[in-house]
Amino acid sequence: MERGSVSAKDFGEIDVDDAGKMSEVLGAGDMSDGARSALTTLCRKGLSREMKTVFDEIDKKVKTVVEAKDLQYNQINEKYSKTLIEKKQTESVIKSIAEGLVVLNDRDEVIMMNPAAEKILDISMADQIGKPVRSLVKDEHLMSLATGKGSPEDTEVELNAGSENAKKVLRSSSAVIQNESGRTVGMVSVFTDVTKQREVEDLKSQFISNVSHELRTPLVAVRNSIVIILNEKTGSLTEDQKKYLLIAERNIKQLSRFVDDLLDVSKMEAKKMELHPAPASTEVIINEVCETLEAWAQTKNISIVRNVQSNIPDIKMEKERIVQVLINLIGNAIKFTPTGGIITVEAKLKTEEKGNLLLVRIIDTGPGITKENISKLFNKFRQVGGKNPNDKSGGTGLGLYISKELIELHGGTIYVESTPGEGAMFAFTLPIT
Amino acid sequence: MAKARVLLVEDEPDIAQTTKVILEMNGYEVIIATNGVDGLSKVGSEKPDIAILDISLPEMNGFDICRKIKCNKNYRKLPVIMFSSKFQPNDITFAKALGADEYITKSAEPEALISKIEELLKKTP
Repeated sequence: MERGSVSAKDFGEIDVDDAGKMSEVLGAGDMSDGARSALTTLCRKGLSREMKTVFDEIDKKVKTVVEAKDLQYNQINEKYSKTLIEKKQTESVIKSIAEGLVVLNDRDEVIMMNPAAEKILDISMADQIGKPVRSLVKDEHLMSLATGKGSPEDTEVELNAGSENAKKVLRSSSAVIQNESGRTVGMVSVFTDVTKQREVEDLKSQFISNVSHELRTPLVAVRNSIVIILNEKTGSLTEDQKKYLLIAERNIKQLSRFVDDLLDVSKMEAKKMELHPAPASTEVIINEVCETLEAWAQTKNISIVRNVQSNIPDIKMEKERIVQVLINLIGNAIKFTPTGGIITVEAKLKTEEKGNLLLVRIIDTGPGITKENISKLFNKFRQVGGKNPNDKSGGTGLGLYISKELIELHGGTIYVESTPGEGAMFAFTLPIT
Repeated sequence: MAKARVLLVEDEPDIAQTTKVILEMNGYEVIIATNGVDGLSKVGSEKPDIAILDISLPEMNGFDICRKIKCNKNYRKLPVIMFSSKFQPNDITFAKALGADEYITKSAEPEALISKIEELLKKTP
């Protein structure tokens, strides 16, 4: 049936009784057959018109709805294809990145994995989607990488690659995926093969170690020779000769210390720094260091005040290393304190929840350090000078970094407090076991 | 009192010669060996009171000399100082494990070497 061309005929004849009822409604009472027939025809025509209007109305509405739906459908379709393109783009990006990427749901099942991850984890992704990662990855270390359960931060894992005899070093970082209400719904892990990078780092450490060795031997020979001449083993010296030999000696010592610092840093970077602790007296060490630095302090008319608590027991430490830290800290204080200043070296016991600690503090009357600089202070190669840009404080920027590493290797902490203009306080603690 | 005899096994001639003079300035008699085998034989022939051994040496390295000294019942009481310019991370542990009495790097001040020698000689009867 064609819409819009409905006529009353299609509904069949109207019952005569209905016509009678109609005439009753119209208040016509008994009608003649002619009148009845005429009325019936009239009703039919009226009804037919009425119906047509209704159907037209319906028709219009249907048309509007259909058109709206068509539009909506087109829009959805458009959005869908757009999303599809975007999805493909994202996928090809994920596929092409060198880093391995694994996405797990909250049941540790693999939702997504890129080819780099397949290669790094040495598994094939075909029909692995949806399987628990535990069934795919056998190596426990790899597991901790893939599930990010090792630690929230960057983790590094060393693997022995099965086929090749080479070691493989992977670095991973993971993040939890949360839904809108903050519930954890999965985990995304990214890992990088850093084997090459590690090789280069090792090579660098080895190189520094070799260079230091090559530098040290001639330095020692020069220094020894200067010591011999200065001791007038080769004949008496004039005052001028002594003066210049002392300059040479001082500079050779400085150079030797720098070579030692470089070597220390290369060991620290390679995590190969070893300690050989033995019980030692804090007081003896502090006295030794202060006496060594006394001459230098005097050139700037700086007095070093010692304040060491008397009942400090011998503490397990590597004496030479703690001496090194104290020389760095007190040496810095001398360097930055203006002429006539005072440096206080304090040592005392401190009781904390974890046990007893030795607390050593070096307080100077120098220019102090800004908050911004304090945060950079213990970084490698970072030199934080005074306010004056021409301030030639010298040094390599390694001393505080090395001191921090050494104190931490001893299980202690190192920190600094300062208000610009009011001097600085460097402090470190050592555990008493 | 007779001068204490120090055996210095060192293959770098400049280091050997200057260290010898510095030790002599401090009242020691110094015997030099320039390779490992010579060093070990001088332990027997020269009867030193203390031995200072460089680590990287031709023919026999300092660790081997130390091990041989400490494994020999006639010489094990001879104090040994390992004297190295190459500070390998495990060297100290290794040296101690072999029975070396002290470990010192060459770049340490000459006074440090002297005081270690004095300390060790005081301990040995």
